[in-house]
Amino acid sequence: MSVMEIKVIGVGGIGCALLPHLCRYLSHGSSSTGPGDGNGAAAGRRARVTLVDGDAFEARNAARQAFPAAGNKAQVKAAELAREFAALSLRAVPEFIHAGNAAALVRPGDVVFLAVDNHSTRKAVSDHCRTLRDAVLISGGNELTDGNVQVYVRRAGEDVTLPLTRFHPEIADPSDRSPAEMSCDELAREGAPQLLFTNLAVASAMLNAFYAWEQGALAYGEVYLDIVQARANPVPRPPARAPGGGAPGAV
Amino acid sequence: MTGNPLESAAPLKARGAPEGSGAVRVICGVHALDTRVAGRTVGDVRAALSQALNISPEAIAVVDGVEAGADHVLRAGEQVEFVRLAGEKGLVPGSPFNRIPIRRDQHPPRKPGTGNREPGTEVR
Repeated sequence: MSVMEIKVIGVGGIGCALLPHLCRYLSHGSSSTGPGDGNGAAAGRRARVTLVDGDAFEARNAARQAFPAAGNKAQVKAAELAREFAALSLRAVPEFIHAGNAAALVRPGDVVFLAVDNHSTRKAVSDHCRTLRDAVLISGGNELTDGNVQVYVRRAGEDVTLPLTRFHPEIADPSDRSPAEMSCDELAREGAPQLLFTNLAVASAMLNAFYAWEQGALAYGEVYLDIVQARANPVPRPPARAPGGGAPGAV
Repeated sequence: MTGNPLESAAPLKARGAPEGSGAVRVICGVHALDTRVAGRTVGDVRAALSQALNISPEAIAVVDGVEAGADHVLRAGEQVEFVRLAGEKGLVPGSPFNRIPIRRDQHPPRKPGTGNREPGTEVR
């Protein structure tokens, strides 16, 4: 039986909202799904979940992030989840991901949930996924009350949807820096207001995208959401047609 | 209270500009509207709707999945999207902390020996 390798990069507000539900789903599946023609757990695959985060839990984030103890976020959360989901394989990588270690952390065939708050990291992971034959990258981010989820799918060396950088110059040429590049003083200044409910909405949208992909029913490459207006707007992101023909991908 | 309120509810409007309506669908983030702007340029539409749809000056215009310049003349039935910037971290408009200028010289050097190894601490 093959193992679905899942990487959850960023264990902050979105990651903490996403992980318990992802692990519960991977452990138990859906009561309504059959084996089907899907891509993953519904077809009976085992999963291993790797949490990646170089940050330590701070008490000031307790309003949005649930940790049972102080320490590195990836390690503390993985240990907590391992206690709750005994059948699931869990690992922790206490590092920030960046261009220099992306190849070691994201491997061919991985499903990646990217829940970080900076464009430099998004670019690094998206650029690396472009080099892989197969990969699924689900990236979520939010501002105070709205956010978006991008889904970048690579299959057999071809883009099925667009990389995170396409149509997003703020990611393609980021003006921010990854946490791995920032000083402690700069990191401390990053405490812009966040809302638990928006984190939860983005996490939910990321899981919805994962389920749609797994069922072979993904019909969009990006979805926008706004919790105050109670709106969500999915947008297809098919790769451009090749000159002279060539149909775009399925999405 | 009389009857089931769902029975008298108006049907939801179908997505996409109605065929033959002469409308163009304009999207930005969660906002979408069908409007009669066929014959106008992308730049005209951006200027006219920038406040209503909260279109960022940095937003790329995409017409039916293809990046389009400001001088692209829209045709009926097309869809133009002004791609909303990806979410960051609880941004507050005008806050000096929204962006930290990048210093390319601070990229960390690659650590030798990490290219083919997948790091991680096995929890189980």
